[in-house]
Amino acid sequence: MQSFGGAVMALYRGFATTLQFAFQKKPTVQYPSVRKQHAPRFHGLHELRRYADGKERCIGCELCAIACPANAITVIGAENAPDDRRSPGERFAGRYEIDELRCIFCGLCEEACPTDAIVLTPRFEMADYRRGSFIYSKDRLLVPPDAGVGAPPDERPGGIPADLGWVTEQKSTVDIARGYDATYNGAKLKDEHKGLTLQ
Amino acid sequence: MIPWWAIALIKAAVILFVVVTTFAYSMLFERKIMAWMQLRPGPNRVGPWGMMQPAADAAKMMFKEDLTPETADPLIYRLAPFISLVCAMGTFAIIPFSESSAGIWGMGNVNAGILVIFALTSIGVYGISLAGWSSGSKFPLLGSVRSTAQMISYELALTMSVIGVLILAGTTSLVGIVHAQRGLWYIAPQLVGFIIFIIASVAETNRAPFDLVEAESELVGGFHTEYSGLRFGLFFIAEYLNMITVACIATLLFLGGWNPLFGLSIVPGIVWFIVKAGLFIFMYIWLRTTLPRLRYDRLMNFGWKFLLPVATLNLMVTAAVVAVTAG
Amino acid sequence: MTEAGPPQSVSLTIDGTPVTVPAGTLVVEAAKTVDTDVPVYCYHPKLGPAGLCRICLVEIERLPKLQIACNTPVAEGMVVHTHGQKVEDGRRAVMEFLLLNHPLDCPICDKGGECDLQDFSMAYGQGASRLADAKASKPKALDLGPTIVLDDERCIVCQRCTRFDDIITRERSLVVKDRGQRDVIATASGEPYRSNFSGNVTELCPVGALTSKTYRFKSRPWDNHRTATTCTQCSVGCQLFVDERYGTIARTMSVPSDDAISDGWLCDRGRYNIGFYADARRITAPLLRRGEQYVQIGWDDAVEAWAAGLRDALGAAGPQAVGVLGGGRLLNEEIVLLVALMQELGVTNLDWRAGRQRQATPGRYAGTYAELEAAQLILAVGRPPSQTAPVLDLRIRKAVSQRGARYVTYGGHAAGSFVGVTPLRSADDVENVLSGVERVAVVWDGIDLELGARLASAIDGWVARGVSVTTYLSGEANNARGAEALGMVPRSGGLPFTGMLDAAQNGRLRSLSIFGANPVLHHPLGGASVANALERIPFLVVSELFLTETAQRAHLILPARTGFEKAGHVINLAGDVLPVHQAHAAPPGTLADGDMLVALAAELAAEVPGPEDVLARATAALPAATHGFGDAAYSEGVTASKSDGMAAGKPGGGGLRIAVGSDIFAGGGTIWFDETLAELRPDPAATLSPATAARLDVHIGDRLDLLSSSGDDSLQGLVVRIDAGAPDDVVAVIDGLPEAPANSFADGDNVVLGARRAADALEPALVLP
Ligand code: SF4
Ligand code: SF4
Ligand code: SF4
Ligand code: SF4
Ligand code: FES
Repeated sequence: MQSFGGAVMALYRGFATTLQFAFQKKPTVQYPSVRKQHAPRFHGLHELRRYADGKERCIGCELCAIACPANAITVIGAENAPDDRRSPGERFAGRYEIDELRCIFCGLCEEACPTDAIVLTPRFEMADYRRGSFIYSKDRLLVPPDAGVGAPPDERPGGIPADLGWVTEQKSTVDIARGYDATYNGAKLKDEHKGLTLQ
Repeated sequence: MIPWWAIALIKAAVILFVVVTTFAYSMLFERKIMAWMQLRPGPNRVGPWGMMQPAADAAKMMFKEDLTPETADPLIYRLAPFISLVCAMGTFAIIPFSESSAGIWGMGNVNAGILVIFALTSIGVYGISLAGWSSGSKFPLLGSVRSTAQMISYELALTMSVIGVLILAGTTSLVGIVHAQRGLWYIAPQLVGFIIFIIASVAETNRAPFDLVEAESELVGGFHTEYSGLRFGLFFIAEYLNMITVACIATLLFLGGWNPLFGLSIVPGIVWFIVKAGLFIFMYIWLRTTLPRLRYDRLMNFGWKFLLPVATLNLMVTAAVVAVTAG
Repeated sequence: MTEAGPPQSVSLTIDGTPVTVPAGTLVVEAAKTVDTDVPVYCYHPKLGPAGLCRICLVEIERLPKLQIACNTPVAEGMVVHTHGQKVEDGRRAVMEFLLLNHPLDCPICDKGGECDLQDFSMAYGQGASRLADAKASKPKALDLGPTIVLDDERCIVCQRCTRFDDIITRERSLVVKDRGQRDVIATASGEPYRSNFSGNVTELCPVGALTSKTYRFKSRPWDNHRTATTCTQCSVGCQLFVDERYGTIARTMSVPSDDAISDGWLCDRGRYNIGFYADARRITAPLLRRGEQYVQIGWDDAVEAWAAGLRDALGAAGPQAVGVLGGGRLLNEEIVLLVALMQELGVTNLDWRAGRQRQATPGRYAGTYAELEAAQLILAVGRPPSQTAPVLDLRIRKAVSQRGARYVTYGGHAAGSFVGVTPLRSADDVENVLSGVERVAVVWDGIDLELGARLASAIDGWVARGVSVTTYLSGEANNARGAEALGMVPRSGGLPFTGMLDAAQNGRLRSLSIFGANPVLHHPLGGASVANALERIPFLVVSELFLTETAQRAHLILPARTGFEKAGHVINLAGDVLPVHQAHAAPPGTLADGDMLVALAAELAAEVPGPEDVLARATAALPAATHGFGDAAYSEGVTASKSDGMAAGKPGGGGLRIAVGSDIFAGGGTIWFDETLAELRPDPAATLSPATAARLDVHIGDRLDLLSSSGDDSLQGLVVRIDAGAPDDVVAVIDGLPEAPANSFADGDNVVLGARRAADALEPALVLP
């Protein structure tokens, strides 16, 4: 049994803590009217990139799918038709789907990808009303052919190994150096949210 | 001359308006205070500082669908929220807010005021019990069973703690009790009674840490699990009104009512009353943010094995002292 | 040592463990007994050593250099180290050479995940290549034939593929062309690689150089859910793995340990004919005929209609008016149920013989595949096993090429076995080749009963002479033997199917239920007359996968399940009871025949045995057959086919006779409704000898029609082929092709040439220079 004095002290400490907090500065950020800059390697919504010439980088190898700890990725390979080449080699992703509800945004898919096709962008605003709409397939994952040429996804401190130089030029909607605000959809989203400023 | 019933109607309307507004803003007050204590800004989207939040909530409540479960007893199920609300509101007819309210308004000076209030709050329990029982579903039923047991247990201690004051004041009229405190507030001689009153009243109003009746983590929503829309809103209002009532009673019985502090009688009595009651409500919220919910058996143990004996002892000592000094 | 003869076993030490193995064992095999891994590429237990890749290097004490484990026989007192610094260094050097020109293809390579080169690279390879120049570039995604794609950059020239084609199939079309860095796998002739066993090379290839077209980029090994089951395409009963992914069958693989049945091989029919189950034309709801149309109904209604139809027929004319055909494509369990239910209803008109095959039980001399392999003389009578039981034919080739057996045929016309075959033309010839032979294996197609009866009495004679004979019946339906053994034959007083057709013509058959059979395409009475008879049956029920020629005549069509979609047992031609497991989920709306029968029995309130009872009966060991194989009494009431094959008779009026043969890719069911295999389906062809072609003045690629001598039946639009090995005055056609159903023709029938169109008017590309 706690002593009476101890009980009183415990009560005192409890009430003092809550009271103290009431006067502290609140860390809340007034999103969406105020937006923070993401950490440069924030893991958000995926994107499938293209080469500068517009070809898909993804070769449908399924390595991301097997690397994924959440089993969120489905890839079914297909063969390039000679007159309709989607990717440089023989194989491309006939079906590529990520269930963003399953995804834990660990980035292992990005690590596994031999062609740097799948990358995680800083985009995170994916809310929707239907579960089905969280299954992103190529129509939403693949960057539009008219997207700009962005920086490589892999800005590791040591830089990019020289023999991977071909990685540096690629179509992407993300400019890591400038962060979220420079993204293709990000800019659009920001415009959409302008009307929402409340405070 | 304005006929007496018109006056009564006007008074009632004013009181109703004041009471409902107080409810609305005490709710906002609670949400804000709790948010601050939890390092959040609290409601701030509707109106400046979220001032219009109560209106938004009210609108939301009104437009939500009113559901009645298939297994419910339709009549009692629909009636229960009204029992709660009417009892909660009724008490305000008797509570004197200041000298002038007791005089000019001729309101609240009932001879046995305190007894009427206890009577009304006791009936209010029926609202909760019946709501739980008539919902025809297990969580509400458990909630109402808990509420009945809890009310019976703590009502005893509550009443005992109040009787001490009554003995000191020698009257059951609330105005009389306030007048009796012109010199010394009863919080001083009746400190033990005051603490018992606080604890028991929190339990009586089903608020944290005694909110076992509607414990979300155990009973979904307790007695009001099945309620939605306006009917749920009525329970909600009743709960807050009860809290305000208790704050008012505590002010009247222990904090000297509208008697000014430090002899500052330039400040009107009603302001003093509001400040004191407000402080009491703040304490309620503070309790809620600080203390975790009690386990049910501990609640019962505490009520019967600690609170009731202490209250009885307090009563006996008070009675003895009064008998000796008066004699 | 003064022992007489070489020691039968030798003792040696491998990695410190003493082992004793038979003399002559290779070190690589001996190492398997001590649980160590010697990596191999070119060595394969069934192909033997080649010593090409050098990855299997091991250290043998007292020998200065590393030795290849796959081509070094064990010796007494040998001390072998399969691991250690020296060995690893050696293997690392080998890997470096193997990987010199190997592309960085793993992500797009179908072998990735089950590739020996990948595995051993992880074990022995180094991270980076020291090759300063660009890697050699060679053909990629090259079409090697209708089934195989070659990526020559990946080939490590282990020659497993070419050795398979040489040693196992004896077809000898694959070779390594050019040498050194420029070598490439190709066919010697430059023609596409066509073989009935082509798929096996994709499994043998230790890298991703040879891959199957049907599996290309479909899946990854780790995605596949593997089920071991029995192939239901023919009566050999090869064990196979079915790899399923996302509800689709991605591929099938052989079971390497299945020495007893398939010897670890699969034919291309079993391996590649897997697309049919998902064909859009599959029936997925019961169909009820309403006038000229079919309406989809639910299963409850279907079973009710079926029961009502049976009850009507039984009530109006008794059990004699009801018949059941099928069983050759059912599982044992389903056959047991069917037979039990019919017995309960008193129905005696049962038969499984929907096609030409008359018998499926090999009689009292039934033998195992091992006995076939050990025979000194193999006699194939009737249609060649290469087309009716392909993997069995691999065993014949093995017996001939590796065990020195002699292969002779009697009757039939095109053995097509790629090993030396002696066609015999008379019974005397048979007796001649028999002299001095102790072990004979006889494979018969079960079609011509009269021929079978003669054969049976001849065999009795040989056995009496002390020759040990084993008999095999390679037929049409995969579970024909099961159907016959489990009682799908006319019961006392019952009619065989031909009799049922007669009864139907005369209006005496009121109801017929057909399970997985297509007599309109296959029955020797001919499509027109079978169809005619079927159309006279007031209530015809057909359980089928597709709207076949027979199903189109039904009043009620029941959507059945494929062999991949149900579980049970079958009996192969050697009498083994083999399990069939469900490999993937059946399309909704279909029902296994067994389940249909249970529902029907419930609707008819008929007692049928419970599941345990059915299972016990379906898996019971076959009693030693005391009859069958040409035994006429066993197949009572069955009309014999019209002739004794090619051996008897002389050319008739027109001087042209017909030979009707089979092809593993012929048929109107699973193969016809499998679009992925369209390229493998045989064209309706008329094969002639050069002399006959010259006499008739037809040329390769011409189209011609053939008319039966009566003029009633015809085969239209046959493409002319010329085969130097074909007998003169014979036109060979393929049975079971829906475009040109030859079932009304029997071997040896006289035929007359009908209309013909010159090739250049049609397809100039087909004319060879
Ligand atoms: S981020 Fe992680 S969890 Fe999400 S898809 Fe990629 S690998 Fe899977
Ligand atoms: S995204 Fe990368 S890892 Fe995934 S399938 Fe495509 S190429 Fe392979
Ligand atoms: S053959 Fe093996 S090592 Fe070569 S690309 Fe294919 S998976 Fe990789
Ligand atoms: S294709 Fe495959 S099996 Fe054939 S030689 Fe090359 S690596 Fe060996
Ligand atoms: S496995 Fe021994 S040399 Fe190839």
